[in-house]
Amino acid sequence: MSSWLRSLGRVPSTFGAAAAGTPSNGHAPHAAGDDDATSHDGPGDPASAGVARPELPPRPSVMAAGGVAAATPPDVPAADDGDGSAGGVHRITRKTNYWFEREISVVERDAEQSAVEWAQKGLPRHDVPRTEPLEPEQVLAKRCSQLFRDWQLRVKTRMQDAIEESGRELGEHVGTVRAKVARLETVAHDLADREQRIERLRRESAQDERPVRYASMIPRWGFWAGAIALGTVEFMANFPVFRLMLPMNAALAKVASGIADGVDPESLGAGLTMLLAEWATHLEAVVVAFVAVIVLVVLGKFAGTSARAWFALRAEDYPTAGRTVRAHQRDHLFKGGASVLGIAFVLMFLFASRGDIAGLTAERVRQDSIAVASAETRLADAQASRDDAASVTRNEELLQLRDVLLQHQEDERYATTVQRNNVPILLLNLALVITAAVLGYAHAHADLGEKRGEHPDLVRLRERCVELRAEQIAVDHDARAAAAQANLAASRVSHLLAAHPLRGWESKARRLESVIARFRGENARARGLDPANIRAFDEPPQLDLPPVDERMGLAEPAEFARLRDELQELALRLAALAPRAMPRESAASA
Amino acid sequence: MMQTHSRAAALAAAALLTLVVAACRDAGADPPAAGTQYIVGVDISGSRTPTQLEEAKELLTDVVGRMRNGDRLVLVETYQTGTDAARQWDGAIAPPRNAGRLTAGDRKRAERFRSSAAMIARTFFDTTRSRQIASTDLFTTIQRAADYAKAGNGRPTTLLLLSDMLHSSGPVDMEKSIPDSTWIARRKAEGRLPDLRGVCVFAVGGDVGSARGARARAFWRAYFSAAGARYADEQYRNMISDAAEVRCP
Repeated sequence: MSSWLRSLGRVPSTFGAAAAGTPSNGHAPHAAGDDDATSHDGPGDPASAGVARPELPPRPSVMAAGGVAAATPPDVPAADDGDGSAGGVHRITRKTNYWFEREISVVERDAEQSAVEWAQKGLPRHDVPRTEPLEPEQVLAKRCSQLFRDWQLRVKTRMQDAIEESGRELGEHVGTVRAKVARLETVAHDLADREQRIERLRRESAQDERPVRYASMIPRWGFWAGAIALGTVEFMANFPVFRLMLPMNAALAKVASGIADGVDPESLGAGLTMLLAEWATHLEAVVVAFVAVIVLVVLGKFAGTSARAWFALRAEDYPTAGRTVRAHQRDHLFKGGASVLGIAFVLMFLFASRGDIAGLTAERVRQDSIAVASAETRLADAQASRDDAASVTRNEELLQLRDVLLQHQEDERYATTVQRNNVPILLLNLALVITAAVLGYAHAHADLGEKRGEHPDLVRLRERCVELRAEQIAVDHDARAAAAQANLAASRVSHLLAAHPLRGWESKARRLESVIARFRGENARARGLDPANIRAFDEPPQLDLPPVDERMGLAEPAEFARLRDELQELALRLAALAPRAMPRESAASA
Repeated sequence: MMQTHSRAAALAAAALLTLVVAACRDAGADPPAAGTQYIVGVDISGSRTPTQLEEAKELLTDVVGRMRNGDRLVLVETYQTGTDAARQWDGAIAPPRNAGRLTAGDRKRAERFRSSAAMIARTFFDTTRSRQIASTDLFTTIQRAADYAKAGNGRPTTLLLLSDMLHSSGPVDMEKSIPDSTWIARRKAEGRLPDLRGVCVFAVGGDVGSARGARARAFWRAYFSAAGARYADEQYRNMISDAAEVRCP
């Protein structure tokens, strides 16, 4: 008796817990059952099954031959290894059904084993009627009842879990749709705002017909007259400085002297002739002074022209020609900057040259004085020797040297004066340069009317519109995808709520009811009797299965109704934002 | 327009070049003969007092100072007894490049010449040598002046004798006796008088107050007349304060 009781005691823990009266909250057995199903009942892990149930006797060949196929646990498809929450009702309940099949197979095997053990002991006696159910039948009945109750609980739990998961997914997708629709509305607003600005700028550009130009303030001849006068004054002011800085060689000095000797000092043209002769014999100084003058006047003119380009036009005043104006000003920026730099260098060069010129001329005077003293000595020697020819020659030399000395002394006085007035001369040079700049400023003219383009903001606005449209397409795509997912989740929740996962429970009940019949049949077969000849089996099997509620009372997820309404509203807003992509009617139906 | 500017620039350059080349060519040209030739006989013999020598020097300096372009100056120290050579110096101022218009070079050359000539002229009045000279050979000096006058290259010649006009060399010693006109006639007949035709002669420093002086002046009048010189008694002076007077009418 104890052995069969022990054998009957090898029941699943859930059954044991239920039999011991341990209350179940509905999740514990589910979790335990899931663990059982996934840990040692899978067909892919037969070894673990053997370890979990080592005491299970091998199935009798009779049972196999008897076609008790239902006792063999069915294979579970690999695709069903998931939690089952993502599929329909079948997918959710398939694993639970498998669990049920496995558990009932165990019960049936135990029933057969118990029947054999009782048969070996000749129990129950075939001739003794029983008023009470046999003990093994009582145990089997309890286990079947527990199994049926656990199956219902498991199905309900898994269904509720799937509903909650779908509700959570619905919430997430609705949130995504909400964010995307909000972003789409912002993008649409920005896009509309920029398109309005583009249109407004185009209208303004079409109405803006002001000429982009500035005219010369003085006539052409006035500019050239001023420039020539400036150049002449500048040349006259600077040439003596360069003449002193760049002394002639002996041959040129002789030529210069010859030219100067040929001039009638009392004639009207003596000054001009001497000036031309001086320029001709101081060619280097003329070239340098001329270049300096050209540089100052031309660069001054350039600086003035560039300043005009900057002050006469403002890109802000001509929006449609802003780029052209800026290009024009950029061009003049380099020219003006380089001109100012060149002017500064030339003026610094002139200033430094004048600052050192007195020393140069003083050195020449000193050398000339030495030469004169030497010539005087030679003359005295010639006179002492009473050599009239030599005296005359020496005297001629002395007179020539004295002339040179006199000229250089005059140069020294001039150079000293120039050096002393270096700063005022610099100011004069600056004034001349400024005059040249003013001339250039006044004479500058430009006409940029033919180079009018579109408003510079249009390019930026168009580029931003392109970006916004691209973002609009991407966000719209994401919003629609999220809305589709949300609709899918909502549909799934509705589907699961309306489902009857316990439908067909009658077959399972009949399967459970067959367990006691199987016990009686196997006991009789082992004893070589007909079950009908065993009096203890006269009473029909008693199996008290719990009632079945097919509706199950599945709870709707929290805020499901609100999320569904919001999803509908978001679909309408989305359709309003992109009516061509999603007509309003479709959105409403969605 | 561009072509016009180029043409104007080329013309200006050509004009400047022409001016320079012309100036160079003129500077090296040989000037034509013009001006006056001054032949100055300087007598610093011991018979002359320092004051006379100083006045003569001043006059000569003044004459030199008045020389112009084209003038020529010949300084001849009076010959002495026993010598066949006397100190002589000559020089000329280049004539002006353009007739009637002096250039700066002309003026400069004249100035330099005047400077040199004045310097040389001063050396002709060396008082230390004056004491050593005891004789005055005026005839030889005038003879040499006549030779210089012929080399005047067409210039009118003025002979300025800065002397007491008392020849004292050889057989004639005018400090003792002054020859008469027959001596002059004889010398002329012998062809021993200088050819002073066209030469303006001035004698400055002679004694014009004494009887001997008067005789000497008469002698020299006859002598210069016989030599063909342009001479008058008023050109025989003891002193000429203004060199401008050294000029024949």
